[in-house]
Amino acid sequence: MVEETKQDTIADDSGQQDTLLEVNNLRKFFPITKGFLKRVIGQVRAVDDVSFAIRQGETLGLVGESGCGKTTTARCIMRALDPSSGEILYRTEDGSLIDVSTIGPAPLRELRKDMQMIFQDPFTSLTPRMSLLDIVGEPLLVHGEKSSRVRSERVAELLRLVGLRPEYMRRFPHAFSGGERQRIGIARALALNPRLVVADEPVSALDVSVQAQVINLLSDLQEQLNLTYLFVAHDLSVVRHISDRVAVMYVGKMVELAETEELFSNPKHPYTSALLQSVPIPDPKNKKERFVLEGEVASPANPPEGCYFNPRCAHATDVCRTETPVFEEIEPKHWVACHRASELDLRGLTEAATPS
Amino acid sequence: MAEQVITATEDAFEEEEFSIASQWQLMWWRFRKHKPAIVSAIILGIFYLLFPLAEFLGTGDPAQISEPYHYLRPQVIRFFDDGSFSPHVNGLRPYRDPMTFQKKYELLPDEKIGVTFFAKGFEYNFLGFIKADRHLIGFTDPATLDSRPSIFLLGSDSVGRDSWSRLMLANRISLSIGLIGVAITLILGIMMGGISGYYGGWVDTIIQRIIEVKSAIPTLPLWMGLSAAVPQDWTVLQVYFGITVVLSIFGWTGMARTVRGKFLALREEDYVMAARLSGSGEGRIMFRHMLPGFYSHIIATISLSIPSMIIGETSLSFLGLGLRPPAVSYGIMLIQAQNPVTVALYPWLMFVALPVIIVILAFNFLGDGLRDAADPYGK
Amino acid sequence: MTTNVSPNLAADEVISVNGLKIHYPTDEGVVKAVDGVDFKLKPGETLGVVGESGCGKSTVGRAILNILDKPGKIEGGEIAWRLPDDRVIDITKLDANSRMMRSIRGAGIALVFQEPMTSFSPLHTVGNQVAEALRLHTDLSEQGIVDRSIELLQMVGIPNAEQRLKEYAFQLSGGLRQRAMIAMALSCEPRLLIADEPTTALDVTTQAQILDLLRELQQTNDMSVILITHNLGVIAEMADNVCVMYLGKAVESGPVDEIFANPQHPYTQGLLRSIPSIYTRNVERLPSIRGSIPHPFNRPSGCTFRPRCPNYMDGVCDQNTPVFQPLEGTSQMVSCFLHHKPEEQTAPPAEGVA
Repeated sequence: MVEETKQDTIADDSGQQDTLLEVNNLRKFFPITKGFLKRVIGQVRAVDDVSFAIRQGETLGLVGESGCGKTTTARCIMRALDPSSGEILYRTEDGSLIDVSTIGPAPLRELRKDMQMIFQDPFTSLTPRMSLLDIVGEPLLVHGEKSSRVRSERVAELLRLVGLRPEYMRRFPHAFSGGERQRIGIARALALNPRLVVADEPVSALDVSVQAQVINLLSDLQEQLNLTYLFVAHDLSVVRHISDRVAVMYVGKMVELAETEELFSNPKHPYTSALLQSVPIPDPKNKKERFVLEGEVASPANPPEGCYFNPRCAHATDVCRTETPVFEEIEPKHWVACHRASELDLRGLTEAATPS
Repeated sequence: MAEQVITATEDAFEEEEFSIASQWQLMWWRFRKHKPAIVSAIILGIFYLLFPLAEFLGTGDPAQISEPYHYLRPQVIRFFDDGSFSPHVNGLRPYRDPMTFQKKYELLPDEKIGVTFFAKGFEYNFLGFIKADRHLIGFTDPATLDSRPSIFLLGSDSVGRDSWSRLMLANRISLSIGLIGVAITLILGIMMGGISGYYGGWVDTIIQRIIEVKSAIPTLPLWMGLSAAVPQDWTVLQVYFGITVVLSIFGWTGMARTVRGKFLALREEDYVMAARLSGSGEGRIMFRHMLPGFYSHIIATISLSIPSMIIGETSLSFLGLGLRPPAVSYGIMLIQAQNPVTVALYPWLMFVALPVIIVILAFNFLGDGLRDAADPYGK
Repeated sequence: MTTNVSPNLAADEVISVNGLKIHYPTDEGVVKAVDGVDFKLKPGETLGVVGESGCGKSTVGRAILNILDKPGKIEGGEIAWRLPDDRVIDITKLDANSRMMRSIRGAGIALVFQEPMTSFSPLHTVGNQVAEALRLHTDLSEQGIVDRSIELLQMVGIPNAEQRLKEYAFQLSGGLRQRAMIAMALSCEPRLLIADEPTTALDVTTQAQILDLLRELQQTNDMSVILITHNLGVIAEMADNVCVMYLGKAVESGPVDEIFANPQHPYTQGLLRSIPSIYTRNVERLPSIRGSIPHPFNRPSGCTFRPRCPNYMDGVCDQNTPVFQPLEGTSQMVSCFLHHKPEEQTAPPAEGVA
């Protein structure tokens, strides 16, 4: 089976000690039920055989359009959802590997100290009836810090860290703007000194002027605290700015994964290329006759035969319509799932390459 | 990261007050603006304040039957006598109308019975255990009570009991049934709804089906059936609780549905997931994160469901299926007004309907106000 | 009722908004959602209205159609619009439910919303809703309406148009819904299309499709477009002129090339700088605008941008309110004391011109 080789190669690539998290053949299917008896009539293949690794200290950007499974992937890694199959290997501080996808409640609770999440919507991710002290201090409390003095000291420290005044501690979330609330969410995520932070669209609900502040904050924190980020987003310019490597998903599958510069300038998957071409550029001199990807995103409940992208792909051939492409490393550190990856010359995004 | 704006505002204090305001404060600030609700709250406050004072305010022994004074019309206290302050009521002389044989009373303008505040009267237990015999208003000479049992501010009923004193007691029983009934409703509703909404699955299905079946049965016949099943030999207190339970059996389903819906909705909230990812346990998530999210809705629902309890008790007692004499409730007092002829001849027997209407309206306005205030974050 | 004052509209302009002010009186105080906005639009042109949340850009769009949410009220300014019979009227003076306003809404000015799901009734088929618009504003026969509906759906690139007419909005994908919404808006060939964040809810590849479609339709129908969005990329790609709004005020406007190449207002400058480039990662830290957008009740005095402004001048920006006026040597308008000292500020034009 193709999966064998894939697994091996990924293991090789990340066999080094600096791999923090390795996801192998992750699948998450949601049953579609019908009728009074909830008969299962189909599956939504939200995440369908996804494999990648995250290195210690890096930022891995995970991009794709709505419904592509990027958020589901992130939630499976956090075990907010239970994966249908596959493994999620996490390397703990002492070097041992644990499989996040199967561990029980007690070790999972311990693991929560290491892995934390930042949410997209700062207006729904903070409990409205709790003060900042309670919100940011909660992870400390539930992990055994009973002294309220210690907690409030730590909360003050965390608030300072994210650029909020510690005096705000007694306030409730309703007193804060979106950007400030997102900082609060970040402070909560950092309370237990995590090593891996999964950020699920952390800036897409923010205004442009505030977005830059939060991106800078995330970069600063990464440097100060030696954090590793899985950065889920759909805004490609933000992803480009913050990520070391970028993974692209389409209908539950990973289609491409490469170093940021490489992926943006030299995409190997037609979907990645189309995605890059679709982004409106804030530069009117660049008003170009651009390539527009036709058609609609396939339904993960009923994906097409072969490569899921084939109905929209300008380069599709017969093999694309029948066989599922393998996600493989076609160049060093450049992974792609496309039958024609090595022969196609696709347009990337470099300033020079854009016609005037 | 020193990018924080230093917003120098004149009303920095006010801003700070808003920022650290808990949900209850925010709710109160909004509630304050709802004038009808505030007035209703005050009215209801007065009604519930009457609880411990029922006997103190009564002018006569509510249970005392007095043959000479039945169907007496409401009597007026005159405070001045020839320009000097000297509260009194006039004496009465009963007679039969020779044409209709109806019992009537002649006011005797010259017979003045002295009335005073804090008068000695019938003995009662204040708050249930303190022996007392003082009343807000009573006859100056307690001996008068032997011949005339009360002032009859609201007249008397068919056997000569003092309506005013009875109303004070009825008020206590009818309103407290509302409160206790709602408390039972609340406990049942939150428990069933919480289990149903939080755990889902087959537990949810079973509870939902039970609620549906129950909802399909018409209310009044079921009430009547259940109250008819209350044994005849129960004491007043037992009947009281029996009827309360019968009434609550209806209330809880609505509450359970509200709670379940809220739990289902909140279960998907990001902040609930955030709490779970922080490592919080189920109990903490339910009670610290989810439940506070709709305390206020529960309060509003309660204040809107108390009136239906009160109406329910009144209807049942009116039909003779609720509380039974010697207990006194709105419904029991209204039994006498069942006969249109009686109402035509002695309209003051209908007076009890007035507090019922006031209380129900007040609860509805209060509920409205609470509901509007309940969502301090909504616009 | 028509007005007897003659609103300010040059012969080659489609619409002209002058000193528009829209206030929302609430229990807590008056929210000045729009507090002075001026722009003009020529036939076939696209005006991009750009700003962050709470800047009042959507309110402007709704005011033009006279469909403000309660308790919003137009407090001042005018919206000059030319009727088919060449009379120029002031939309702010029209009653929201008057016949004239209704005829303008369908046939003169059309609106495309951000969320196409909520703009369609779930109870009626897409076809029914498109037909409804045609029935109200044209005198086509029943068969003519069906034919035209199909034609419209085909025009906006919906495959299987005939089949789609019979479907409900929830059966369509986001992109198709937005196309159907556009088809409905175009059903009566409006002269002005207001597109309020038409692509914000859509994915980037779908967004590209919709923007493409809008551009194409604009060319074929010679329509003017007011494009309201927070996305500067979309503005750069679509707009001829830009109006930048901050806290209800227009702070800068001008041709798109000039605004992007040479922004004059510190807010515009900050906004443009704070977007990460998709081409290169040339900076470690993104230049950002400090602070956050103030609460509507808590607007700073003087220039509303002053607490966040890197060029804040003590004693100037907090003491005076800048006036939106042309900047010499450019085609831009700007309201900033960097360019016009307080003593050079002209009197507010809003009241003067009417």
